[in-house]
Amino acid sequence: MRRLLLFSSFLVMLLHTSVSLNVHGATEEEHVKAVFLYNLIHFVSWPQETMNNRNTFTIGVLGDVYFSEIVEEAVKGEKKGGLPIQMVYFEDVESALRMQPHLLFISENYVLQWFTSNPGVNSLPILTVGDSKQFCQQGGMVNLLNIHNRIQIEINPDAVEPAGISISSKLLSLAKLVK
Amino acid sequence: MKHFLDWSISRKLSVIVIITSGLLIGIMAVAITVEKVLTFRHSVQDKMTVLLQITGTNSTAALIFQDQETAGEILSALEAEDSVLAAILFDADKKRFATYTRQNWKPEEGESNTSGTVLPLPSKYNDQHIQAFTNDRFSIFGPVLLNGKTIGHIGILADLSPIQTQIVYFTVMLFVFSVLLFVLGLVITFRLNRSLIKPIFNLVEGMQIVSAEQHYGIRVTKEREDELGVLIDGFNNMLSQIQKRDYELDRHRNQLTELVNQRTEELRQTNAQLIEEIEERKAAEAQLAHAQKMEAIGTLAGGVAHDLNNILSGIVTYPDLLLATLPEDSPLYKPLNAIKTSGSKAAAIVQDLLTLARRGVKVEERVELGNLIKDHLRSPESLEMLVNHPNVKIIFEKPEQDLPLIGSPVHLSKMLMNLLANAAEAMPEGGNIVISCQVMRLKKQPVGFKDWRSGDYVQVTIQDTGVGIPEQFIDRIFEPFYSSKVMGLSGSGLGMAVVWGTVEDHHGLITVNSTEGEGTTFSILLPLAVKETVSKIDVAGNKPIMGQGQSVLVVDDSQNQRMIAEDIFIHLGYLVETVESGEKALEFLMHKPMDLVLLDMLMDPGMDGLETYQHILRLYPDQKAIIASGFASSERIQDAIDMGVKSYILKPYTISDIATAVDLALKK
Repeated sequence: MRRLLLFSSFLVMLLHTSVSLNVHGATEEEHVKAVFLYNLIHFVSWPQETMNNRNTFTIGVLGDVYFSEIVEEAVKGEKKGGLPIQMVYFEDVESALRMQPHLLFISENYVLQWFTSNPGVNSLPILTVGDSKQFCQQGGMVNLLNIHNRIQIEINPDAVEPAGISISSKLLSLAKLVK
Repeated sequence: MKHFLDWSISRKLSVIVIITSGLLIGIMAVAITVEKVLTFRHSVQDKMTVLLQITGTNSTAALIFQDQETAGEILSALEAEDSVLAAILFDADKKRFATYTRQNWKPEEGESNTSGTVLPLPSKYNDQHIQAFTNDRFSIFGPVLLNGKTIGHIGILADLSPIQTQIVYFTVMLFVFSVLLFVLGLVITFRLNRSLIKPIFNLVEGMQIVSAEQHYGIRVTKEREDELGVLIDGFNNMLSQIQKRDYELDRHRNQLTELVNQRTEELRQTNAQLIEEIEERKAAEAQLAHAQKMEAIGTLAGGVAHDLNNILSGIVTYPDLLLATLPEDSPLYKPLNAIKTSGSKAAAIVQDLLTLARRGVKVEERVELGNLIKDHLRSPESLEMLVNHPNVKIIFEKPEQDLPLIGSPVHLSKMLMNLLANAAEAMPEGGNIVISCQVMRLKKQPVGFKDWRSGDYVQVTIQDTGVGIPEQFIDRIFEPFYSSKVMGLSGSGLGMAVVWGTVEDHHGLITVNSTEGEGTTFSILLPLAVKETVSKIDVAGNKPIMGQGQSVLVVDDSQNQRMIAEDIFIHLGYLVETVESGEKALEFLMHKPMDLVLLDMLMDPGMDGLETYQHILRLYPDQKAIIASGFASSERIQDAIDMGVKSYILKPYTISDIATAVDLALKK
């Protein structure tokens, strides 16, 4: 019930946000992205071993502590595949690579560093999500772009495939596919 | 109902089949139609439910990520389904999120709300699936779920008119098909009915023929092996059994008739045999009564004759002795001769009495009957009778074959004489007396013939054309001294009785057939001879044969008789001795053998002649002997002859009798 209320309020908020983006600026957009971030996990499947060997489903935010708090608020109490969702903030790439969360939001300043940090980073079972213009072109998997005050989803299928992650066709039908 | 039951089976079957098939086809058509409608509805329901779920599921991402454009594209995919008229997607707040309407379709009344929104959520929708059929529309609504959470709602409006058109088309086709099926059923029914009923008609026709004509030979043709075939088989079997039963009944009836006829014939034969036996019994009883009567008379006559014999011996014998010593010119000669003649006649009567008593001396002598009759017809007695009856003629043709009898020629001649005399006297106006002889073999006992033995017989018939004998007198004609106007008058009154006794002595049978006014026929059956026998002594000529001094022993219990015999033997030149009994004779002979013994057969007391002779033979097996008897059973005399007695003489005997017998015995 609680989840339903949360989900409902979130949708209300989402609509409200889409309407009032121009009024409240980036803060409203961050909230929408946090919800989108959470919603993404419903249309993505991770390799089975990454789900079985963990006690929690981990969502990480690299380099944006403010956004990490918004996300933590959005996923608080939620579960994915029977595992409680844990929000982890990473200050640097190494700590993120070390922990290897299921989903990692990479803020714009850490994108290049992430994809150049390790030659095998692209094959790690980590759904990488960003909100920068060339995120997918740089090797990212899902990009959440604000285009005309609407969040546009970009997906790079070529980046997703080596990681052993699969994205639902439902999501793919919504998203813009980039390479 | 009763009216229906009275219908013909064909009609009943037709009506039943029509009603049944009509009902079945109607029910089937309705059931198929209903099933088809329901199937279509379920099909629409299922299809729309699936489309609702697929479309809803496919719309989750668009709903979550607020992509109305994509949602509209997803809904537009329903265009591929012709029946879908509209589809609408609502967000979690039940606000329209995306809409699809078929091109050129305009919502009808009730398919949009007052604000013009197509396919609004029903007021009773509460986040659960809901569906409804209205006229030719089907609407369905349901939630869109993501991980168990309702993220929106979706509704689809489907057009049922094509389906309903199909249903109508199907119903029409079904009706046409049902009608065709019904008509086809009727045709098949009528044909089958005719085919099924035909054996019944055949059966009914057969039954009518059997009932009307009682003709059980017909058979109903069996065309199939069904129940009617079994029924026809049963009917035919029943007819066969009736035929068989009738045949058996006829056979039994015929057998019964034959049996009844046979039994009737047997009964008739038995009855006839019974009547015949009764007649025979009556005849036998009459014969027995007659025999008993004759026996009683004979006993009386025999007793009288025995005594008379002894008395007559003196009357007959002494005149003979006296006449032998007297010259013929003696004045006593004629009276003595008259005495002798009278005595001889009296002796003849006595002999008749003895014959009647059937105790006369019986001579078993071979007699040729043809010659005997012929000789008799030439005898003085016969000639004298013809003289007395000048108009009577005797016709006799001697048979070619010999007719040998064993018996007494004297008695047979006397029998013949008496019968001829009677016949002659029965014809006062004259006539023919026909004598005929016929040999026959009697294998069966004639009625009343008590001495019958299977063998050859001669039947002597003496037929006259006289006055006849009234029927009531026939049974009595053989009685002694019985006379009537119709019977001849024999000399002694014993004539017919002597005839009867002679026939009895010769083991024969005499029968009489007489018709009053037409004549009488006597038939006498006599057994033909089979063996030789001794000859009776014929009385020699006038001069007695004299003895040569041979010794003779006279054995007689009568002193008178011993004295007469002694005188005769002395007269004849024999040496004679006399004793009064058999015992004395044996004693005498032991001391003095004799050439000849004259034995009286009946002696009382002591041994009779036969016993005495038996004892004498023990002393002298070749002892010659003569039996003299006036009253002795035939069997005793026959036994004596069988033992060797040379001859026998009847009492009262004359000098000639003694002379001839003694001479004959001594010569043998």
